[in-house]
Amino acid sequence: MTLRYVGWRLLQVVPTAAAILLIGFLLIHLAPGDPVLALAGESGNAEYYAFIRAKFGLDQPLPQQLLTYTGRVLQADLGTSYLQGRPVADIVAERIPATILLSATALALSSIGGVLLGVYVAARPHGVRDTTVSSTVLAVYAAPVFWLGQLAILLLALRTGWFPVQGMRSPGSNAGGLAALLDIAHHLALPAVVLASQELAAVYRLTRAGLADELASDHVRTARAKGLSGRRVMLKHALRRPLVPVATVIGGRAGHVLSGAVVIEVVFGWPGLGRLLLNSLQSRDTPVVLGIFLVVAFAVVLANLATDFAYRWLDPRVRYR
Amino acid sequence: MSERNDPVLSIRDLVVRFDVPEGTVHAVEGVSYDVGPGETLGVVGESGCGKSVTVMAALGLLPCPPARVVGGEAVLEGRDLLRLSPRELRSVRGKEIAMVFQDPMTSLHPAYTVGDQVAEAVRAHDAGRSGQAAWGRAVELLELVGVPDAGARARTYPHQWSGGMRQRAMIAMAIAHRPKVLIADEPTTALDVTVQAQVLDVLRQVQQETSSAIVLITHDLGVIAEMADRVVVMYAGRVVETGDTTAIFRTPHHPYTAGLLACLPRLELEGQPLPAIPGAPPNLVDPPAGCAFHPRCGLRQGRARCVVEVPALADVGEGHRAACHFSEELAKTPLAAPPETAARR
Amino acid sequence: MSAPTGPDATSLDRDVDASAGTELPAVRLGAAVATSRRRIVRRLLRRPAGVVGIALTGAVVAVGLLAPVLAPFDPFAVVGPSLSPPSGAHPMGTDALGRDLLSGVIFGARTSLVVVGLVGVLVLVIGVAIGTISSYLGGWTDDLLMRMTELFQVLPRFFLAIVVIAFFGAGLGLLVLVLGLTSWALLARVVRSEVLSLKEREFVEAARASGASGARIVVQDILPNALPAGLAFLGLILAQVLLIEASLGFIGLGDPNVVSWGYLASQAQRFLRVAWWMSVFPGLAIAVAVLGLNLLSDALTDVLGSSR
Repeated sequence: MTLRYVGWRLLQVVPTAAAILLIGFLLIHLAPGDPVLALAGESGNAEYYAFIRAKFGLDQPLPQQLLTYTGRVLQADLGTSYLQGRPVADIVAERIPATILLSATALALSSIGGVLLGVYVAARPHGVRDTTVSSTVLAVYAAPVFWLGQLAILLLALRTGWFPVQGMRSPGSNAGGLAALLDIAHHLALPAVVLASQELAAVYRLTRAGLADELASDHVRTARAKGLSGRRVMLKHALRRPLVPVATVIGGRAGHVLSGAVVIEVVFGWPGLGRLLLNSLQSRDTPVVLGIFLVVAFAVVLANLATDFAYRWLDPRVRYR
Repeated sequence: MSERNDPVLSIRDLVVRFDVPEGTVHAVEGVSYDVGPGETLGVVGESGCGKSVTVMAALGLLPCPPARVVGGEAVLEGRDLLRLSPRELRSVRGKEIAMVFQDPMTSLHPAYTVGDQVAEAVRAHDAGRSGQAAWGRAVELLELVGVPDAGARARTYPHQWSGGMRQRAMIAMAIAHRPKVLIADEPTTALDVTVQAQVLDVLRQVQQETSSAIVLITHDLGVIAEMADRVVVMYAGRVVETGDTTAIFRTPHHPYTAGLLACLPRLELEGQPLPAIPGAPPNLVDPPAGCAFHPRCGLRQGRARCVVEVPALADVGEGHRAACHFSEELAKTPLAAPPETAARR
Repeated sequence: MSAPTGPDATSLDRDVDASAGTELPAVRLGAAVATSRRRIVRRLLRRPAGVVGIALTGAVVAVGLLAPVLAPFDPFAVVGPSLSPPSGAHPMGTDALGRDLLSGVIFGARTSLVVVGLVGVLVLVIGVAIGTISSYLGGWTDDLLMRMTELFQVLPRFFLAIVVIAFFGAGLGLLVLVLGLTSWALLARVVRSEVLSLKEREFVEAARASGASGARIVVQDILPNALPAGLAFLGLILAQVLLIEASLGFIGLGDPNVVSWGYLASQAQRFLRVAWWMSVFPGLAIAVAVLGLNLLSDALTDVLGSSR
């Protein structure tokens, strides 16, 4: 991976980022009513509106406004929440760690789980094992994530009491240290597993298809002919190449995972961007909604960029070109 | 044949079938042949005749399903490979029997360095050896097969190697444990003509070094003439003729062998179009009754016996056997002049 | 099966279809396309995934179309005691206001059908147009259109739909527009690559040799052949659209004038402790519809892949 490639690829992000900014700008101006409402909400304080108008240059001609808006966003100024009277960027930033914790855990679980299931099935394809796993994965993939969440609450939280139903911490608990971590993990388990079980399908199917190709390939035959153990043939030789698209699909699914996380947060009362989004939608706090969109969109673009670099790095044939 | 040493590898009545949606492919139907220690046995035939499937079955490298080893044995020094547990068979593969495959472009893993892959072959049957020592041995092996600047090149990836060099690397892997039998499956088919000769040279050299027996599978009689002590000719999953290379080339006793020989390019006929055996290899889901070669045979002349009775291998000379009902006719009126040039090369 | 068995298994004559395809007569392709289409349907019906996919998708479409006939009650009418579990009178139970859940699920199918159907039309028109133009014109137009397609692939559709609805208000029309305008990227790419590979095929050469114009070749000869692959991916896209529509309904952004499965599931959230049926049935309906579409496109991809 040459520096030139990195630079060229970074340059490619610019039009995408510009398009996202433009979407935000257009929404503010195309939405019914005064654009200031989109940036300051419907609080009705004339003095405050004037302040926001001046800050975002809403009296200037449109192209000028676009420039001002771009500058504001690039300085992480996403407007002000009228509900909380605080900068949107701050409010969103507070919620990001919880969402990242949930999404990253789910992403890790689904990647590992999907690859393991793929290996497990590819070792003995076209049998009972294959049919059972493949159809279960397919069914879970088809189920809406909020429904899986609700079923998990019904069966694993309400009926058995094994897991907490809502939130990230036990109410009234002010334990610190390890106890707090365990408490969070206990709350995290159900939403993360539910989110992962849905994301797992893509990884599983890619791994399985890739392994099927690889196990029939000449270089895996060579590895077998060397007298390597079945495990080594599978894990070192057959699995190596399918992992590249798997890594790609993991990054490529950032948008999907975040969408799922938002919905799952609503189901499990997880205090991340999803809860914030729901509250803001219900109270028509549009600046926050727009802010979340911008943050998520940029995050997805960055995830794709990182994926691309990872792909280059993983495949030596691409790496050296 | 009786005065030979005991064979190191002996295939006996091997039957392999494939279950495919169209039916059952009779890929190998009762193949037997022996390989003596240090000898080079050429196995020749058109693609699809079962010559690769035979050795792959012996090494347990066929995917089952769809493949099914129905019967027979593959005896390596008294042990039937077909009855070994997967673990036991693994200790044979790459150690006592090693393989070189047809396409060096795809037979190496693209994501690992060549040195890594050779060193892995070293460590596969020598787990006690440290990674560093295995690497050193890998570089040695690469030098042995004539890879220039082996130390540095071992650190590069297969796509940075030429086809001929990759095939040398495959050979280096195969000889890591001085195998008793080295199976080379079309080792030169995918290579340029100039490189082919070099790779064959390397094979000959390492044979001297390791005194392995070589089973050389090819569809190219030129390669056989150059390398093999003895030849097995296969057609439609059966052995149709076997004997010393010179005998096969001088006096073929099966019309298929004769046809193959007639297709060899010869110096005196240069510029003329090559003759070809008329017809196509048979469909092995529904093979022809009787002698599988009868639809393409120039010797049959409408005789019913060829359609009814499968000819058995019969002695036709000193260590020379052929499976044709009318092989003596071929000896009297050869279909093709024996290509002396090829045999002498 | 040629791959695992190596060079020795190539004598199986499995290329019958392919060789028949290349010997198509020069100009009249209509008949060939029709037979291949019939063959695709026949092969679909030979696979379990194809049969189940067609059955599930067909069932959801039928329920959606016949909703007013099938539903026992008006989905918004209070017709029974609140939060009553499934019974003979209310097979799926009632919600907190005493509305019949079965009727809600049946009318929810209609809403999903409308959204998915209209989005499907939009996606098909835009995707096919962009894919075809891109591959046919090539050069910088191709570059530009493909850059744009990549942008739409990266854009998080769900979040975009959320902001748009937050700014403009919830409504089916807007929902269809947003999802339709942002979901075509995958289809455009598939159509583009199909057209590019079909352009190389002999029968197109033949059509060109017989003097047909470029645009005519694309519309008459290439598109009908590129379409099956496009439809396989359209199924996947629509399954995603259905899930997004349901998720939007679940977070309260559905059209308030119609019942949707996502809305029903959102109503269940507060009553999970007491009324499991409110969650189970709407979610099951969504899963069935999405599974149907996924299976159908899987089977279609499979059929198309094996007939090459």
